[in-house]
Amino acid sequence: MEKELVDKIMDKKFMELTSSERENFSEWFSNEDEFDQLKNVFTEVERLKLTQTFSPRTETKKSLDELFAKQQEKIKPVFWYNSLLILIYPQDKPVFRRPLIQFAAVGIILLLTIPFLFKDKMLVTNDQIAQVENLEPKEKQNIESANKHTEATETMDKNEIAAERSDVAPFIDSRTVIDGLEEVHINSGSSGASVAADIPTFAFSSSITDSKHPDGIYVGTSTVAYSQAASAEPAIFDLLTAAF
Amino acid sequence: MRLFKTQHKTMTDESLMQAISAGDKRAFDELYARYASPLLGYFMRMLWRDREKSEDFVHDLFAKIVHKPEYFDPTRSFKTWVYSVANNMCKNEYKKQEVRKGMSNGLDNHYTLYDKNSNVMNEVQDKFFQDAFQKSLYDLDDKHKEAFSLRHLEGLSIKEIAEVLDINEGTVKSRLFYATKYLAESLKEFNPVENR
Repeated sequence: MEKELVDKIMDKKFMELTSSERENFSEWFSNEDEFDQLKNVFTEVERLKLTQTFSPRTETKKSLDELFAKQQEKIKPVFWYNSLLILIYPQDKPVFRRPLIQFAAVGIILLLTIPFLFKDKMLVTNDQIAQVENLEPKEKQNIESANKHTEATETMDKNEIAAERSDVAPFIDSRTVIDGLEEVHINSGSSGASVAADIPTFAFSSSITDSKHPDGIYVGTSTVAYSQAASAEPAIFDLLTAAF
Repeated sequence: MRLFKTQHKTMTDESLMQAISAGDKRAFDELYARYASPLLGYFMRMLWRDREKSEDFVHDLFAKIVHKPEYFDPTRSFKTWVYSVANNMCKNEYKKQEVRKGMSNGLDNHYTLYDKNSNVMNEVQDKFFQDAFQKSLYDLDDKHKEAFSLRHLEGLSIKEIAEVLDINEGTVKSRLFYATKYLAESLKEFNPVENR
């Protein structure tokens, strides 16, 4: 009711009030003079509210801030390592403005960016498809001479081996070990001839360990042996298959 | 860890008090920004416009909030609570001074009609009226003056004033009625409305 009274008094003049309004507020005013006196009071009150604005001194706020800080120290004692935490993670700043969060964000961005920066280098492929072994000149020469002997043997015994294979399967006649090399005498059927030292000998050497072929067949002389695929020597291939 | 910034400006007074209890400095800053000026004005009106004393009272009141935030009951309205604390501080000051009783017509030596720091006296034709109004306001009895100040100058509702003064609403209304009529009667020789 009082708020309504104040609104009516401030908005209207006495003559503008209706009879019902005058009756409702009869205890407050009975004539125009009393109405105007009340209007003076409320007008001055409104003016006081607008003009009388007081602002405390800054010293008051500073003093209260110090009090607050001391009070918080009592509740939460500050340890030395908290100083660093306060430096990198201050509570009075927004989250995105705290140094620790900013460092973490920069680190994450770098981790995500580095793979793309070095992408070109990572995709550089090695054009080399196959690798050629660079053998030592001596080994190369031995392999070349062994290949020549092998070709000669193939040429010479080709017909004989073919005939022997058709008749009798070759079998190991005898084994002798000369200079660490095991010399195998193969009985090739009707001939029964042993392998001469000057022609390529099929030997098994336990001293030579670096076979280049999975079969591990060594061909060569009694002093020099080299590995060769078993399929290149039908005779020894048949020997192996016969032996096993 | 909160992912979003706490909007202290949108928090209620009661929420700010809870945050202060938890050690939130920014909540205290926000609460101070909201209530420091109104409380200073209230103390100025209730303590004979003594600026120094009013500043001290504001400091003491907020110091109580800093030291003992648990004194505030979260189920209550903070506004009524803080004004009730302010009112009690004024009453204690009155008891100390013992100058309010027996004053009928004059100014007390604590009275200072003019606030040197204010810019109230702007219009010459209203000068005397304003002086008389303020004198009459201060001449009011304490209980009527506090009811009138809380209602018309601080903007509290009848219910809130009843809570602050720990009286019923009917008593608040009667005190307001008496204070308003007293002021209107004491200023009847002035008619600034006609002159405007």
